[in-house]
Amino acid sequence: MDSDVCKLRIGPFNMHFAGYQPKANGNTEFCEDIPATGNTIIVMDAIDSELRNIPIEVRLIEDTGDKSLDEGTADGSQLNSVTMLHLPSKIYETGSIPIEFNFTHAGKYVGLVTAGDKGQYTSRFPFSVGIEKTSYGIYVLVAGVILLGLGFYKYAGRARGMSRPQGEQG
Amino acid sequence: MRRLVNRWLVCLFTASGLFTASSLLTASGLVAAFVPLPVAAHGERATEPYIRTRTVHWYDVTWSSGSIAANDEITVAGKFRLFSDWPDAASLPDLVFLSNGSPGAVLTRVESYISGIPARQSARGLKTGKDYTFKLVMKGRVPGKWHLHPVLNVHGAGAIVGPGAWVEVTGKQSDYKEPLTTMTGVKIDDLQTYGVARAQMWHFGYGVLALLWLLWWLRRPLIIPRWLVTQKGREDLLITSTDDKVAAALLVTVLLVVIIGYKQTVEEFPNVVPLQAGFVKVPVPPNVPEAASIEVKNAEYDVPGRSLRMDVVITNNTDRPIRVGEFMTAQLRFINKDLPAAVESIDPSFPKDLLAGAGLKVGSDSPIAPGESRSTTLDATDAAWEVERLVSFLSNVDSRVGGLVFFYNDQGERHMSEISGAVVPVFTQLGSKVSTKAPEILNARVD
Repeated sequence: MDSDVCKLRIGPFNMHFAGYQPKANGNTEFCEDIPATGNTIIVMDAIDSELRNIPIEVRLIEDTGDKSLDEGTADGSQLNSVTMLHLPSKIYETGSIPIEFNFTHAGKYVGLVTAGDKGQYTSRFPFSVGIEKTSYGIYVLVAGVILLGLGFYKYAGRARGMSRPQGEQG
Repeated sequence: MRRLVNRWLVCLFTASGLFTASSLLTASGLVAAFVPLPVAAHGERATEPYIRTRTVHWYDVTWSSGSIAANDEITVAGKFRLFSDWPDAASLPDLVFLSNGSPGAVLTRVESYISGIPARQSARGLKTGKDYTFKLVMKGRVPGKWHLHPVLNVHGAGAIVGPGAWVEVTGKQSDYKEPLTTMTGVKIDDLQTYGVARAQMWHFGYGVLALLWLLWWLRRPLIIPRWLVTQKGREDLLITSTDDKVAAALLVTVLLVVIIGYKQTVEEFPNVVPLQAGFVKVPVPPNVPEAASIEVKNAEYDVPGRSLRMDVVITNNTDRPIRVGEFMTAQLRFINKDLPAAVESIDPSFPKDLLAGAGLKVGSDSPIAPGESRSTTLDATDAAWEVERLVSFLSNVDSRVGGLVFFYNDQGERHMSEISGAVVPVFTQLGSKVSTKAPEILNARVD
């Protein structure tokens, strides 16, 4: 967990975020982006034990781009209008907060986690659902290999040419 | 001319590239060496779960103090069980070495014992299915707060780390001393600095010789001119008779330094003990009949619930009624909080982060009568399964889990049994309402 990339920072504390789509992907764990729409399980685990003793509230909202929602300055009705799931403030003794939700359409979402008796610690984690990201890594790798071969071919030909006595052809 | 310029440019770029790379490496090395970086722990979570859950189970581990002054001692003591269901992928503990896990020499190990036998060397003769006591005596050296674990290094399986507790070393590092009197009566004030000046003298001396040798050649025209000379078949121009003389003088100097240095060292230290490479043999503990046998009928790990659920049949082989008090695996302790004797077994020095918050839920928790076989369930739920990175046993080729179960009888006596079995992942339905972009707030049900 020390180099955990799926880590949420809530004030001075840390949580681990994991998403699952058991029907589509078995027990494969996703971090920031859920690959497809459908039934999804999200689990947040307390890394710091202090989080087990303070109430935690969770909301899943649509990412509308409204900054007031992220900054916590939005009013209740504004927040409720984009809230898709709400877990009221509660103490989680086992340190885990499991959520099951059926994402019916692809898009960008945000998880808002509020912790503390007065809700003094807040964390925001954006994630996407069903948005495919093209990975260019494999193409870059293949192009690199081909370029390497071409470079070697050119260099070898030039070196051979230089080593021949002058006047020799072919 | 143009070709020559091109070659020089290639040389320049290559040299600058190498210089940059080496500079970066050197800089990062210097940063690592001289800038103190915070260390949270040291990788015990990186060990494969099948190693942590099915090889060495540490229990009754205590730390004599949570804070010591530099040069004061702390004792880490306890027991370990070498698990019977040892994984095939790890070598058996035929050759082991007991040590400590801490971030560098912030504490020094001054004594170590396995079953009361000094374990400063590697040990042989340990058997799976047996319990051994251990003791480590450590001395505070560098002030700070350090995570201190016992570690059993198993040849062929690697370091198997026990539970870790934070230990604070106070005072100044200069307070730390390690005096020693050798067998021949030589008094050494501090082992930390003993012989360091001598080692530095030898390193520096050889460094100077190497530098002079390099400079001798570097003062000449370098790569391209020498390459051109070799292309023209005139290698004879590259090495002069003066070079031959310098090389011969350096050879003689180095050999004389080695011979005279060896003679002087032997005269100064006539009695030396070679580095010890032997091992100690630890006697096999007597067989102890298992107080309760446990048969795992079914075991599943609920992924979203972070819960290991086992259906078991427990047979009480003792002559007194017993109850399940604790399930322990990979240093994690799931305590049955309904059993006072189990709760009282937690030593105050034991790390709180290794105690599962919700404890152990036992399906049928009433006392199991002598000779009775009871079908029940054990439910060990906690985020620690994920946080401690223990769930990759689900993707191993050998998806098994193991641990120790502690029982207590009506007189508070404790008994211990092993538990192990195949485990499968499951996803329980949490039962939350399904939203189709619902504008209203939905309260999901959470287990």
